[in-house]
Amino acid sequence: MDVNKNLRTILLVEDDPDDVNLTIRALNKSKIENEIVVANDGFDALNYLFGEGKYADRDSSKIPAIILLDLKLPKLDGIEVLKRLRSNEKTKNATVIILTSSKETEDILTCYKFCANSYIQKPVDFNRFMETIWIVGTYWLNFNENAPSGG
Amino acid sequence: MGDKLNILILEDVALDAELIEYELRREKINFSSVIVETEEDFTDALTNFNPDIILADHSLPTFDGLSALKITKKLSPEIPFIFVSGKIGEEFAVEVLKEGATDYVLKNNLSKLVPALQRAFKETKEQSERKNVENTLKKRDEQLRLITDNMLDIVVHIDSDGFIHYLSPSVKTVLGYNPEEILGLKISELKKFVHPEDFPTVKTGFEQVFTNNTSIVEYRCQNVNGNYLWLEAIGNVLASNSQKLRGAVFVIRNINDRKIAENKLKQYHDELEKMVIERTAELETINKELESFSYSVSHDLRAPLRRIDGFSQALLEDYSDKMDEQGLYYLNRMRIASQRMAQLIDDLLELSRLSRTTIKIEDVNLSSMAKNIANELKTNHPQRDVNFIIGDNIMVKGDPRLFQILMENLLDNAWKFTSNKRESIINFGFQDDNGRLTYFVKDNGCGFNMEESEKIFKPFKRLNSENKFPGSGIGLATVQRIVAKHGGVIWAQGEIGIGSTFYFTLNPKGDGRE
Repeated sequence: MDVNKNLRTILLVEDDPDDVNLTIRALNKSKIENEIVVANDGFDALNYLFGEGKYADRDSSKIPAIILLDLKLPKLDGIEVLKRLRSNEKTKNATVIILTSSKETEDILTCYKFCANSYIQKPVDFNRFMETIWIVGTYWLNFNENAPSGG
Repeated sequence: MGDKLNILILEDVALDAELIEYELRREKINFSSVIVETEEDFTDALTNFNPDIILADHSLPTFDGLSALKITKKLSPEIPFIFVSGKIGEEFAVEVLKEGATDYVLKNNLSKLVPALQRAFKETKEQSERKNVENTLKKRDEQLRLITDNMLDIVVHIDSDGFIHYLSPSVKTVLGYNPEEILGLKISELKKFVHPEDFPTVKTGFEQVFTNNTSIVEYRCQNVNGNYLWLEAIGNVLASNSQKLRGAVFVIRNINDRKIAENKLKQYHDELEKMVIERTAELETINKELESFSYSVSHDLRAPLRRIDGFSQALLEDYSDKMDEQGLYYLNRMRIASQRMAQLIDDLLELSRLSRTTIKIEDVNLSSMAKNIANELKTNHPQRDVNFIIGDNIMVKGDPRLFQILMENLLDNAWKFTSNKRESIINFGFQDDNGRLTYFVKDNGCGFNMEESEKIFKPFKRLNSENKFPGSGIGLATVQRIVAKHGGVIWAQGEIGIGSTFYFTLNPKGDGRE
């Protein structure tokens, strides 16, 4: 796995090892070279982002290039993670892409209410899933201008 | 005094009688007379002669004037009775007048006889008129008494000072009280009979009679056994010239049975309402459960499928060189199966979502909707040659999103089932059946057996094998639900090898064509 250390990380918040496996595969297939960090639950994700717990020595000023966030998570669900992210000065502008199996209107509305950048339902068809990941990666990593840091 | 008078003269002295008759004639009184001097003759003349007036002497050999007066008063009290006597003492005069004599005249002053006679007649006339009036009043009084005594309702007259001035005896029948117990009480003293909860209403009702001239009050009143009965009092103000009669009259009716029935009805109504609220709440709970169920279906059932598909794909990509043709085929079948199941789940969710959504009514152009769907189908399957015949400007009222699903499903079906035909024709239009519009989608595809036309609309009922025509078997169930939601019905006609037609109607109220 070639990882370009100069690039910002991609934080994948996902509890299911299969989905972790398949998402990483899709990212790799899309020739995305950013380092992929996996958080298995909501707490883990927040610890990484805020440099707490086992990530205490991480430089928390470095915000991931994109955060791929599942909604159904143990301990702290995706919506809660999103809420806390958005209410923290450091992470309020982070790119958060909801990547979930749910297509429920309620979920979609809640995510946009708390300012998710994008909401994507994982397609069952793996080819389409890969296509989606490729589009997401290309758009958010290459074309999107992030908010200036501290802004 | 034009008529001939019958004059009965009680006199034993013939000369005196003659003098009387002379005086009468002198005064031009037209009369016939009978002269008697015994009690027997007097009584006989009283009944048989029908005298208009009696002129009686004071003392006779075997009889006397006072006794004659008494007999007259007994037998014919209305006949004027005048004493004509030689001399009458003052005491005697007072006595006879007291006994009912009309007048008295002295024999030595007979010139006063005729004026006395005339006065007597006048008096008698007045007396009889008074009697007539009295009789009429008595009769009316009797009639009123009969009515009020036999009324089932209670009639109460309350005078302007608030005292019960009259109370009909029916109070005994209705409430068990004797009228005398209540008569003369002040209205405020009735408080003890009225149910405490109803007293304010009764008070207001009573006051209203005087401000609005009338009022109706329903209240509970305690009867003699201590039970409360529902009564209805209708009051009217009495505007009389007599101070004594002023006040208000109330007609009070026992409405207990009606009230009990009303209360029972209200109770049923309340219970029903409560039941509806409970059922609605239950339904809402079930709906919520259903929602959370569909949520978990959409989330939890899709995830493993995605993984099956993902890993199959990984196998295909990374290890295809290590598998033979058969192995690759199996892998492909796995992927197709998982994708099909995902489609099934999506369709099922759509169906359950449909049942839960409330429709919004808008004008929908089914023609342009059908044309767009047809174009899309043609673009996606350029190899097929399908002739779409779509009627122009078919406008309906309903939910545009649902109509889109409906048209997509029907046209997709037609498209699918004509795939074996070299020249496929798909027709969308409507027909007017006596003012009721029926829309149809008709194809010349493989058709179906009419015996199975009912099954078509059941979820997962498929008439064809998956290999021949792919589909989840939910499309037509969805269509039926959409049509039902718009107050319509759907049915199908078909013939194997010839084609199928799906007909549907929509709620005539929201159904119009421009």
